Amino acid sequence: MPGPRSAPAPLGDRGVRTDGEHLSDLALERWVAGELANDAGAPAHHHLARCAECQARLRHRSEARSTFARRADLAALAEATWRRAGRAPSSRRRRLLALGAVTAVAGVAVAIPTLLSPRSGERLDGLRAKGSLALELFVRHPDGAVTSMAPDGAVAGGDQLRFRVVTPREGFVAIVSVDGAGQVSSYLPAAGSLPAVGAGAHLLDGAVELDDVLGRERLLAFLCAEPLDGATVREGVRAALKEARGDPTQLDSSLARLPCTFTSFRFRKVPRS
Amino acid sequence: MDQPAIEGLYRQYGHLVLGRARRLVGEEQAADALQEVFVRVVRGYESFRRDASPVTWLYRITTNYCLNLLRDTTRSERRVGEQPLVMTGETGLGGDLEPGSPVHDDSLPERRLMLAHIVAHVSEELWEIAVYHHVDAMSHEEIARTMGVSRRTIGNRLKEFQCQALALLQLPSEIVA
Repeated sequence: MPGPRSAPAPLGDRGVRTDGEHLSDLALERWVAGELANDAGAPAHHHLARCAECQARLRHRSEARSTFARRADLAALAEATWRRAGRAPSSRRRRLLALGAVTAVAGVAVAIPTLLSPRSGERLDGLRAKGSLALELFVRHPDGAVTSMAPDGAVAGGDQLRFRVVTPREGFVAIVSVDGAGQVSSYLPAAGSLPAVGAGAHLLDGAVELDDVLGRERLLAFLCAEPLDGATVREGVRAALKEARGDPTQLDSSLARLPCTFTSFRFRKVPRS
Repeated sequence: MDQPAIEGLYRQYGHLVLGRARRLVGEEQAADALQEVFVRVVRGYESFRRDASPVTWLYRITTNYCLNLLRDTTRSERRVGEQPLVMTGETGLGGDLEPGSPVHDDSLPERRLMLAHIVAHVSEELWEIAVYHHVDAMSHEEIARTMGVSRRTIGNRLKEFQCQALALLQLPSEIVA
């Protein structure tokens, strides 16, 4: 079973719960998974050696793991998951696609053509929009591998991002980035009016190559009722960021002034290993 | 990834995801949540594999997926429980009958509805932090490390959540422990 490339994260203040007496459920799960077998787990090891209640909770979790592995139809689960995950774009579906002009986004990233594209507007069985806007990110790594990024996933400079939105109705879309330094950039459109989309899933034209600025980044995808200019949306985000005193996690209430619904996606830019 | 590798992931981590989903969204939706989370693992396998703590990665993905499910459910059903919800430091949403855990709570459905109501109206980051603190009883330090932010940020966000939750629940501040 593949494990983490780097050493497990330390347990902080021993993963002790707010009642100050016991290990948290997360700490116990990490123990069961073997993530605290080295020095980072010393505080948990020390606590478990003297706490009968946490020992019992640990046994319960270990038993739960064994029971699940024994009783669940793992093969059926794996097959169903493989089928659903396989609807996402993969290198086997890659084909040449002529895209729009290359556009430079100053100070943050460069938009370049990509070789990856499913059919635009296709319905996604594995993605439930449930009446709300959804944003999905795909990453092309320098080695050519293409993956779907999970929320709060890690990427590095040189990775290329492409976006797919699932919209509950027709409208005009925009994607704006707020990076850890507080810089606001338009990923889509780079300039001009917001492109129109119908209801459904849409892989958006163009891709963005990430620069080497590290830290957390928050992407905001907007679905607007009007064909706004991209600069209007970008300036709306800047104004919201200013009201939030530079905190990108506190934009939401101010963004409500734009005539758009929005969703967000956070990721981390880390050094390339 | 091939199917045997996915099967191995389920063997190692399936209980964790299922247990957490049961705790947050109940038995009926937990099985589907299990598969949805692992679809995300498979699609984002590079990120999962690179993370220093795959368990923490899964914990967060499951938490966020389930809370989004609650939010979507609330928006479509628009039901709010009539019983007031008191947010305390206890693991008030119950869950597994394990040693040291609260006895099964008959008000669990109402508590979930109130949580869903709050989830529908606060930002993702706030309710994620609130769940870790109020449901999982995690310390500020552990939450900070789990989410990769400062401890001070966690304290500030919890205060903000409390204000927003009180406004949504229209409870006097002295009721909240």
